Amino acid sequence: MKNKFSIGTKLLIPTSVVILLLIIIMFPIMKGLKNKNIKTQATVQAENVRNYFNATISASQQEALQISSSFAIMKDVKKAYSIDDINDSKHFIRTALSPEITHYKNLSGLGDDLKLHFHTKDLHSLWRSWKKQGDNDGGDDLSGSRNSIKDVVNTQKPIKTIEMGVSGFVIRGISPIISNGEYLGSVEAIFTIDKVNTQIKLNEDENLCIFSKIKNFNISAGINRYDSVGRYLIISEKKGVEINPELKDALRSYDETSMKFIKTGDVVQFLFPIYEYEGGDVIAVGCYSYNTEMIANSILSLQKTLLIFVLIGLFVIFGIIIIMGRIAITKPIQIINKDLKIISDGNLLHKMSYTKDDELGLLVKELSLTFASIRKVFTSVNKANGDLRRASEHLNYTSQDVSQGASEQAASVEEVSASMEQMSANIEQNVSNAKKTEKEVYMAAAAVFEGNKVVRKTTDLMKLVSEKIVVISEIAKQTNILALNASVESASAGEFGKGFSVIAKEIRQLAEDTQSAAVEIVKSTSSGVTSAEKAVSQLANIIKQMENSSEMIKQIVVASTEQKNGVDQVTNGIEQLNKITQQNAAVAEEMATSSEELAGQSEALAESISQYLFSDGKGLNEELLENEQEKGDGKVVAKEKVYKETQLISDDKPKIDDNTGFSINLGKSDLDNDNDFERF
Amino acid sequence: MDKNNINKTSDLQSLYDAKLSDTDFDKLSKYIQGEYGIKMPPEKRVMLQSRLQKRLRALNIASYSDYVKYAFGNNSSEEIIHMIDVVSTNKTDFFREPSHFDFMKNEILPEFYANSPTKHFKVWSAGCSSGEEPYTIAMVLSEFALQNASFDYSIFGTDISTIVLKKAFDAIYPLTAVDVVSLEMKKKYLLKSKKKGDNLVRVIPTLRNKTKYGRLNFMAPSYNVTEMYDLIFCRNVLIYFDRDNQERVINKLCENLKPGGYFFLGHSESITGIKVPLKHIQPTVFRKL
Ligand SMILES: C[S@@+](CC[C@H](N)C(=O)[O-])C[C@H]1O[C@@H](n2cnc3c(N)ncnc32)[C@H](O)[C@@H]1O
Repeated sequence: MKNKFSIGTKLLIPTSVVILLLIIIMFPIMKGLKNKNIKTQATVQAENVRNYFNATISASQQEALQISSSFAIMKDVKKAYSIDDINDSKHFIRTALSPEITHYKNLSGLGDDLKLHFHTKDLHSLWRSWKKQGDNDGGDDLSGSRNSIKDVVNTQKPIKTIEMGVSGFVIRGISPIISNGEYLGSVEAIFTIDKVNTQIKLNEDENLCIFSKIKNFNISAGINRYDSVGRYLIISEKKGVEINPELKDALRSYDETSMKFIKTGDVVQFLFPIYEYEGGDVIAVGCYSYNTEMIANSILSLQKTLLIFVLIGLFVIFGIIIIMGRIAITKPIQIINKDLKIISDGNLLHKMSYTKDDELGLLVKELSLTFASIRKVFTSVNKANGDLRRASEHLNYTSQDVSQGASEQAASVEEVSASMEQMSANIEQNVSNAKKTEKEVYMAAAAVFEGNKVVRKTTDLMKLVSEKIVVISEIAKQTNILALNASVESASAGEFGKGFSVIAKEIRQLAEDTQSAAVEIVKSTSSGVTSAEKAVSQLANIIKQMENSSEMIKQIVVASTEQKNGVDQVTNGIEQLNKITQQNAAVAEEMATSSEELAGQSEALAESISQYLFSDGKGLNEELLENEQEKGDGKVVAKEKVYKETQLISDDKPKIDDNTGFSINLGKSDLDNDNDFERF
Repeated sequence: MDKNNINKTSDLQSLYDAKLSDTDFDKLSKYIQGEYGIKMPPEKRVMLQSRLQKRLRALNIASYSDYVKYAFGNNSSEEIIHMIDVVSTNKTDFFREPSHFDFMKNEILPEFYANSPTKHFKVWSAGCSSGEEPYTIAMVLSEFALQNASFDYSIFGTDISTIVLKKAFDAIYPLTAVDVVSLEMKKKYLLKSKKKGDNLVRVIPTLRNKTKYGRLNFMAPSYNVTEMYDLIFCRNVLIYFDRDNQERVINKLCENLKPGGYFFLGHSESITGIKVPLKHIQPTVFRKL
């Protein structure tokens, strides 16, 4: 579980981030909006003011026109013009129109602000209603003063004008007085713009002022009383409009057609042209000022409340998201998770309890199907693995047998091979021995041959001796006879011959001895000769036999050599066989190890799926247990065997120095009781 | 868990693929022949490789060169023992080459019984392997003891391989190994496993108690054996040695052979051409001068 955030948090975090971003982005936008708002609002206001102003002026002009035209058609007016004397005429008007004038003054509500001015057709003033009698109330020449009156003379049509006067704008409506098609003069209704100002309702933060064009200004009103900016006189100030440099610049460059927007701090101002009359010349410029501080503040506070509402709304949405998330997602997921945990803990048979038809329900359905197929797979894997286990265990036993057999065979073959080599060496030894013997026999034969020769020579010599002895024997015989004779002679010689007789007797005795010795010698020489002759023939025999032996030994050497070759060939063959057998033994061992490995892996697989419950409410472990019981005892013993062997390697460490002979203490056998064995 | 298995399998694969190089073989063969007498000509390379494979697997070493480094490294005396365990050929059988046992029974023992004052017959089974030879001797001697009162015997078995010594010590064999032993003798001298499937036999304690085992390297300069023996079996050991070493070993063994004591060699072994204090009695049977 790396990600510890819940789904709710996961939803909240991006949403919050987005909202935060929105807020961050909204601020400048709102600021811009505010500014724009202020401008548009001010513009609208300015437009209104201008329209209202123009309308008011227009209406005033209209009123003035109406009043003037009302007077123009009055019988008394016409009558007055028919009076030739100006003063009489003036007098007539004053008296005759007095009630009318009062009536209009009341009707229009203008009171004394309503002024009427009658002109003659030769552009002279006839009567000024607002002047006291004799106080310049008529008769003066107007030709130099205003074009409008001249225009009326020329066009004989009514005219409305506006112009600046001392007391502000002067609204004029001039109507021609025509009687029977004859132009008599004109009548002018006049009132001032101050009226307009009061009529236009402005708020505290609004202001309106008018700048008259110098050239249109009624000079008589006294230009010097006003400051000027470029073409304009600053008049009709209201509540201290600040004529700041921006406004002055704007005035200087104003084109007198469109509305011009000026912003100075919180104050926005609009310049707009004021026409003499509709379609007439621009006679002044209106300036509508608007202090935006207040609306800016109100917009701001509006925005603030909006923001608060938005935030509250967002929090509510968050809450809803979290709650909905919990209800619609987290809760079901928790339920599903619980089920999955049971399943992942090994109970593949567990039924998932979430049954709604929503997406999660679909998911659960799919999962259930998946688990069902996993269950199937597990069952078949389990079965296959069981088979695999049995097979690999069987393979293990057999291959252990094979391995054992192979290594025994290998040892036997190696032993045979070594024996053969030894035999070959032995034969070689025999060959060399035989060769040596043959040489010795040969030498002996040579010696015997030599001996034979000597014996033969000896025989010859003996024969010679024998012959010589015969001579000696003859001589002895004769000597004997002689001695006999001599003794006979000496006996006859008496005392005298007595001594001689003794000698003769001695001689006779010697001769007899000699003879018997000679006979003895002859006897033995002849027997010596015979045996020597025998020996000679026997030695010849021996030599022949020795030659035979030598020949036979030679044959033995040849045969043995052949035998050795044969043995060597067999040894070679066995050595080949040995190689293969040794290799086979190793391979068999490999096989045994591999199959052990296989059995181990299958066991590991079984173990790793054994924690799952996937068929008949039975875990694999129990199934395995059954298998094992079925298997019987063979397996356990096999395991023990392996254990013993490894134990031997690791525990049995005779500490020996192989250069000082033996020393070993195998200790007590771990099998020092014979409980597992019984008598045959 | 699964990962381990996979690694192990690939380790096994690389182990099966490993080859013993010529230089490593030279190193090993020189060492083995020099220290233990066992001849290792180049023809034995395949054999040595396949026998050492067991060690590589046991140690989880993937190449023979690494194994040689390990075996010849420091603190490796233990590994050398294991190496010799697998390198030695331990072929043996009960009643192997029976003429020797007949000769012992018919010639040596009666003569000994008649002449010995102690009547305690001492046998050395030199190169006893897994004990079949000493236990065969024990059976024959035991039989003799049954007929000849106050005859006693003891048997000393030595070998270089600790694995076979352990087997000899335990005296447990597969049933098939004692096929050659007569039923009568089996009944007298062997026990069989109670569990049917095991098919094991064990030599009876009486015979086991007559035997003693020790690890001995025939190539050692001195054997440290103090006893003198009436009979030495040294069969099918010297076939693995060259002639010089054969002569040396027989001479050394004879140091512990009583004068007039007998000496048995394996069927293909002989003393022709070597100088030993032995008299030929009949093939493979000799007597100390
Ligand atoms: C093939 S077995 C012979 C067993 C028994 N003597 C027989 O003939 O049935 C040879 C035994 O000699 C042992 N061997 C080989 N070299 C040896 C050495 N240098 N020192 C002691 N024993 C050795 C081996 O461990 C092996 O068990």
